[in-house]
Amino acid sequence: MKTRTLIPKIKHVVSDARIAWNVLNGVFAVYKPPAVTYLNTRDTIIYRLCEDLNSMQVRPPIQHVCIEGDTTEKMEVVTHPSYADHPLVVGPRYQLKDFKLICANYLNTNSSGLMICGINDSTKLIHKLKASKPPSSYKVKGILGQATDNYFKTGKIVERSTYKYIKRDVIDRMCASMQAAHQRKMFEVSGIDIQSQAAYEFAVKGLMRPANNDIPMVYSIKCVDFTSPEFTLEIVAINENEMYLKTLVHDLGIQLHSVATCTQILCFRYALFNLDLALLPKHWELQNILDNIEQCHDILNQNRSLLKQKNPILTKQNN
Amino acid sequence: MPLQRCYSLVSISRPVANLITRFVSKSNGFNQCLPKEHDKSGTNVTIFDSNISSECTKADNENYTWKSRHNLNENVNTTAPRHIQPTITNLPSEDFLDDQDVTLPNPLDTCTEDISDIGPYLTPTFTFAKYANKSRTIQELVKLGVSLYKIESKKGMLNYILTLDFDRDIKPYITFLHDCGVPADYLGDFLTKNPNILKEDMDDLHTRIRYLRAHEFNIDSIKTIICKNPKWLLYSTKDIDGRLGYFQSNFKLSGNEVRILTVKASNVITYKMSHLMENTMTIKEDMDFNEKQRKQLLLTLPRIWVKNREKLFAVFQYAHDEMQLQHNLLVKMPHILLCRKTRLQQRHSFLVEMKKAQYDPSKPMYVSPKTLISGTDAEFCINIAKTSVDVYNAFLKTF
Repeated sequence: MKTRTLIPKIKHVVSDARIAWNVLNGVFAVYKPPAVTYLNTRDTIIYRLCEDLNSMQVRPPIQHVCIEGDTTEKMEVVTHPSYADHPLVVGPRYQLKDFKLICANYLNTNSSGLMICGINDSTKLIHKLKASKPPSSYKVKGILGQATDNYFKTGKIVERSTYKYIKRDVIDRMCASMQAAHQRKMFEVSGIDIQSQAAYEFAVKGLMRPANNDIPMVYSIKCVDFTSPEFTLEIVAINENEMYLKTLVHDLGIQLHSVATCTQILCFRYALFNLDLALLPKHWELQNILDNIEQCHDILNQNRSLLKQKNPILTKQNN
Repeated sequence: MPLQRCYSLVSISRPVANLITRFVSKSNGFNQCLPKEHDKSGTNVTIFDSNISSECTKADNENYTWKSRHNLNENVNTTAPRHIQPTITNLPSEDFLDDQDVTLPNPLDTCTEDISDIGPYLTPTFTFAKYANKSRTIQELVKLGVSLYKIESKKGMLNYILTLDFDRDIKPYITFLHDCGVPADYLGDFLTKNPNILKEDMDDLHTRIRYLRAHEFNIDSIKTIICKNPKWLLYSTKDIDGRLGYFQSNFKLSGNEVRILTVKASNVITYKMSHLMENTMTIKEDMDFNEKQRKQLLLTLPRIWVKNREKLFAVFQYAHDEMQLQHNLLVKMPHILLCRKTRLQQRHSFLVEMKKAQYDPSKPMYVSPKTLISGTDAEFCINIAKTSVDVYNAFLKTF
């Protein structure tokens, strides 16, 4: 995929806000910064869209018809722009509450990275995307030698320990064993009897999606970078949440006979969407979002299976 | 009015009920006119009324409901009139009798008088839009550019504005503001930000301006103070005096410096006092600026005192501990304290990555902290980092 990081500022080709509002339906990708809540991100996006739409040419006030004059004589019918529909009286034409915006992969306050959002009518697509349970990939950074009370770097340090003796290969081995343990759990979560023929046939084909939405399922844990005391893990998972990933790092530290704290959680892939696609906060503008919707819908159109999964087996797809 | 509706419905069938409900509709409900001991009967009848109205709505095509209504009417015969009859005799006679000699016009009569001034009652509302086409006050305010939708969320403001008359209540204030030097195109914004000025006494406002004149503010600076901070005029002279005194005594300012500060940051002066004191505390104790530095900070960038205390301290900690900026450098370029921490963090760590983070003016390749945080990302990349924006944007996505 071509990187589109530098987005030139294009003058609005369409000057009528009503047309822009009608095409503002779709799935787009944003980059959620860390230490900002999901709702804050959502509000900022909607606020910017409102500003952009209101700065365009908006609907003029409706005509007010009034019948004036003495009732005993011939009366006059006068029309003038209604004050009751003036933007200064009823507020701007596009307001925050007019927008519907939800995200497919919810990122908590401390996580950052790619967030797939659907706006207005496309919230339906987001529900479908969620129901098809695509895996998301995370880059999780941790630091050895300290443990905090909330398992993240923002918390208070409650324990320190030595970490000099920990080498890369030990971490790799631990990651592999954790991954194996999770994959064994996969069959329990999938809802098939493990002794059955069906279970065997699925196991031959490869990895499976979980049947329900609650149990976190990790498919791969890999250590991609290690410079003592810091390490980076790449985790692919379904149904995960922020706390689960933090605890994973914490558990890893304990299994290494030391302690570890999570310092960063970055979601860099969700389904087939990549971080390259994501819009940085400074680019959250109407034009950029409309462009982004186009790119995301290309991906969705090429891979219809993203919206409706028939097969429980996870397959590799390259786009 | 449910009672009036009942009147028309009931009068077709039963003359007694007719009498009662006419009496009711004439005198605005039972509770006002019935003596205390008849309260019970009053409630009885109202309950019955609501029953009837609900019956009548579905009575058109079903016989049995007609019957039930008759039953209820008999109830009235037995209970209600017995209680009400004596109260009618108690009423002043002319008040009760005068509608007998008034001949009411029939529905199809031609109307000969001018009734253009008759309209429905003014009912309660929660938005200005309802009366926008009728009230001249609202129309004039719209023409001035006042954002009424912002005002209507303030408590009690809607009722207040709707009762005002433009020429009588608002015009004097507009002339006053114009005399103070508020430009005509700013009046709308001014009134949006501070609609409460219309509630102030005109003499008080003149006194507050006179106070400023007495303290040797010239006319231009008074104009700037009022335009920058529309709420200034709401504070009494005693309050303003106390606040100016706080700044003068705490930071050892001379009279002229107080004047400069007031013109530069009139909104800092009227900010919440506890917040100002907390920030002074943080700057003094937590950040450890000495007295002279504090005074310089206040005079160059008073807005530091308005910023949220925790955020201010977090930025200071980052600049002082991570970027190793010393106090004297921060005092020279305090703009870095007003910057958001994330922005500072992103740019600094990018420069660290590029090995260009060098904030010591005595060494080569010096990057001034002020230019570090000012300007857009594109300007930052071209002027300081000397890379393309793409690289920087890709870097931003790794946080």
